[in-house]
Parts: sequence; structure tokens; C-alpha cells
Amino acid sequence: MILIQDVHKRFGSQKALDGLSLRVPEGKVFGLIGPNGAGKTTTIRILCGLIRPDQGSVQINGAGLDEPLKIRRRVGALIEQPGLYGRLTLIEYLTFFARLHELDRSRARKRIHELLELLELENHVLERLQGFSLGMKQKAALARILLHDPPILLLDEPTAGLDPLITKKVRDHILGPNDRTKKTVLVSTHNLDEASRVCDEIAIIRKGRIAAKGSWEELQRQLGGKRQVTLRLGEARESYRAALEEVQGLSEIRLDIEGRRLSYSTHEPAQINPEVVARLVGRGAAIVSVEIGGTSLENAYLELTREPDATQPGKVEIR
Amino acid sequence: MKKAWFIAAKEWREIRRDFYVLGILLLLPPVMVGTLVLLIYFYMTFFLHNLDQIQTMLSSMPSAYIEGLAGYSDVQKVAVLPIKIIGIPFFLLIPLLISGIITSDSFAGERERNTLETLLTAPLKEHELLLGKALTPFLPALLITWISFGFLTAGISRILNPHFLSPVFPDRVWNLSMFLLVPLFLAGTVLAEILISCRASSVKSASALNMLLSFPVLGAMLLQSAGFVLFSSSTLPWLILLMTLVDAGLFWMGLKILHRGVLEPQ
Repeated sequence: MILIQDVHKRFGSQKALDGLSLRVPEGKVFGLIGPNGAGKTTTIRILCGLIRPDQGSVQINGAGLDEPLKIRRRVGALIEQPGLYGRLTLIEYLTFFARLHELDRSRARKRIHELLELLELENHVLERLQGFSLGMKQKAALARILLHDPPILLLDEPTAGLDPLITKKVRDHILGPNDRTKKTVLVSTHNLDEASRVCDEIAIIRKGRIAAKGSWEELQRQLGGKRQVTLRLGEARESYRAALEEVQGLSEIRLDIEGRRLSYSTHEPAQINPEVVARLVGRGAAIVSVEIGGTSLENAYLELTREPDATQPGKVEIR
Repeated sequence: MKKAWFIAAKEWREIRRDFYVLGILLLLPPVMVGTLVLLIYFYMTFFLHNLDQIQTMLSSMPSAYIEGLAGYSDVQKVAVLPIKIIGIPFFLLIPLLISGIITSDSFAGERERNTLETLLTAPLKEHELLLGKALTPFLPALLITWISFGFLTAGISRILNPHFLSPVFPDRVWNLSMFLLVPLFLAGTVLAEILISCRASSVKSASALNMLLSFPVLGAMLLQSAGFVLFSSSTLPWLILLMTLVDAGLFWMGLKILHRGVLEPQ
């Protein structure tokens, strides 16, 4: 389990973490999402013991930051860059880290072989890392963090810059069904789609604080916000707008007569849309299609992580 | 300790594959030794062809040197003087330059190449990391220095020893310096360079700061030349004791810095 309590960290005058607290239960995949500079990487660096918090406490499977060796033995960390020694071959690189992780020669050889096979790198063992593509570099780094089979993985943007095929492979290898029950994973990402696919729980981090937290579905409910619904009509009439003004729970009704579109915003499209359609059909409207715009969480994320507008203070509610 | 060896072995492998670094490491010692041998050869040749200049030269020498050469003829005094005056401090430049080339890349290089965080997430104790990083330049620099000393001995003996009944080079001071003072001096240099590399923001700035470490050696050359004899039988034990204390202090400082974390912003 990972436990972070009221952690503060400053770099000069800049506040990187401002009372961050979170708990990742054992065997869960926890996503930390937020914009650049939100504090995701700082959180992961603190968890690895690479930097110290100014205030607050951290525990990883019961070990605190005053026991860095225990933490490093329990954690596999992938931090921003793959961190490869370009002049070493893949096998030399992995053997070096296997020995640092106290695997004896035969165990190291066996484990490296397993991982190379898993990550489809077995044909590149004698190649120097400096010639690897970005995807191969990332896979080599993943092999490194899995060498000592750590119960906890800390992954900072593990799929950043990778093409979709390799992204899927990386996702499957690390967060796939085989490992899900075994490893506790904290993964930071910009990618909402990735977070929604792999994470049991997600925290949106902004300016070093947790702005929202919960499962994907909980966040959808909590922060869904309004969704824009657009109806394409056979013909657009002013009376259709008037018909919608009587419906509760709608706002921002717009009629585009030339474009033959009618749009509105609502928190609950599933409840509202049937009533809207019934009213419009009752007034003789021909409805060609109904489109529900964007994912609500994406909108909420953008809103939560947006720099606050000085002219509209308090528009974003931070939990 | 095993892990320190793993780190050093990894770094030696990387150095072996860096053509330019390896080239400079191999080229520097013969150039330095060759320079010293040629200087002494030309110097000897000059005085052997200008015997009338010997008295003038000896009278211009600091008295501390001349007093230490009682029992030698004037030609013999002139022959051994240069190697006693500038020999040892000049020779200390070899381990200093070699370790500087390797160590400036130590932490600063890892930071530049984004490998430092990866290394620091491995379960390493501070002393293992520091020792590993120190062994990397220490052993090659010491080995190269001793091999260079072998070549220097061969070259200088050939020039000097024919003028004496028994071999005068290498003498006790040189042997003590090479086998006790040089390792201690090198350890101190390496540790100081590692501390610089821990704090420097780039390899370039680490290299620039490492240049400062040559000042004490140049100062020693100057003092030695001016007659403040630093490298003699009586002063050497004190120098060795001083270097031991300096090394212990630097090692302690290194552990402190690594404990605080080399990634914390400066």
C-alpha cells in the first residue's frame, strides 16, 4: 500500500506539492492525472526517495522515507526518461541493475530472459542501447523496473511518446490481467483515455493538491458537468427553441436556423433527451440525429486543471 | 562493497567504448613523461657542453637544495637537481588530469544523460555509491600513474645514473611519493572531483571547477622550485598524514551530500 499524508514540497519560491494526501490500496492501479507542473513527477520522486518532502509523511508497504533501501527494494520506478546507459548493450544494462538488486548470476539470467521474452526484446540483447528506438528504450526501462519483481510500481508517463501499438503492449505487459492482482501501481499520465482503461482509482492533481478523486465512474458522476447535446433537424424553426425553454434542466439553448441545428447543455442527457425529443416531435420537428458532445470527464478535467480566470473567481470548485 | 565494484565495472565498460576519452587517457601519460624526460635530457646535454655554467647555476639555486646534495660533485648536483625540484609535483599532474577527465562525467554526466535518477532508484547505500563512483577514476588513474612512473624511471635512469656510482633515481623520496603519497593524493582528488560533480549542473561546469584542483599542485611546483622543499624525507610523512586526514574529511563530506540527495535543487 502507498500512503501519502499532507506532503509539501517547494523548489525555491515555487510550490510543487501543497498538502498532497492519497492512499493507494494494495493490488490497485491508481492514476495521477494532471497538467505539466501539477506535481505528478515530484510525487513519484518523493515516493522513490529521490527528493525529500519539506513536510508530511510517506509510507510504502510500511516503510517510511527514513528507510530508503527498503523502499527501493519494494519499488520499481520509471521516472520521466527511460534512463539508459547508451554505451551498454541491453543485456549488460539489465545485468548491471539485476546485480544492484541483489539477484545472483543465475537468477538474474533467468529473470532477464523472462522479461526479454515478455517484452519481445530477445533479439536485441547484444545491441547497444543508444541505437534503440524510443519504444524499445521504454521497453528496456520497463524490463529494468520489473527485474526484482517489485510489489509496487511507480510509473511516470510510461507511454509518453510511444506509438499506439507499443502503448498497448506496454499497457498490457505492466497493467495487464496477469499482474493486476499482484502489484500496486501508481501511474501518472496526461492521458485520460489511458487512465480510464487501466486505473481502478484516479486522482486529478492540480497545483500540488488533489482536486478530485475516485473511480472513473465516480468521477464521471462527481464532475461530469454539463454535456452539450446537438440535434440535427430537417428544418429549424424558432418555435422549437421556445418548446425547449419549458424543459427543466436545460441551459444554453441555441438555434442555428441555417445550419438546421438545435443545441443545449444539460447535466443529465439520459433523462432530458427523451423529453426534448418528444416535445420537438410534438411540434412537428423532423429529428435527423442526436449527438452528445465530448466525454464529460474530459471537460471536467480541463475545467479543473485550467488556470483560474481572475475575472471569475471560484468558478471551479476544488475538493 | 560488491555493488561498488558493479558500478565501477559498468563505468569502465562505458569508458572503454568512448573512443575520445579512452584516447586522451592513453595519450596523456606518454606526453607528460616524454616531456619530463626530454626536459632533463636537454638540460643535462646543455650543462655537459657548458661546464663553465655549472657554478653559476648552482649558486642561483636555493640553498636548501644544495645542502641536501653534499657529497656529490658539481656535475652530479646539476644532474639531480631538476628531478628533485619539479619532478614530483609535475608528476602529480598525471593522476590529477586523468581522474579529472573521468570524474567530471561522474554525477554531472549522469544527470545530463538522465540516468542519475535511474541509478538512485536502485537499492544502494551511500558508501557503495560513493565508493563505486570513486573507484572508477581511482584505479585507472593509479595504474596509469604507476606505469608512467615505470617509463619515467627507465628514461631518467638512462640519463642520470651513468653519472653516478650507484643509481640515484628513483630515490626514497620518489618511491615513497609514488607508492604512498600518490594514492592518497589521488583519493583526495577523486573525492573532491566527485563532490564537484555532485553539485555541478553540467559536465562542462564540473570540468571547469576541476581545473581549480590543479592550483594546489601548481602551487606545490612553485614552492618546490623556490626552495621551500615539500617533497623530502623529513616533510613527506607529514604530507602523507595531511592527505590521509583530507581524504577522510572528503569521504565524510561525500557521504553527507549523498545522504541529503544529489537531486535536490542547489
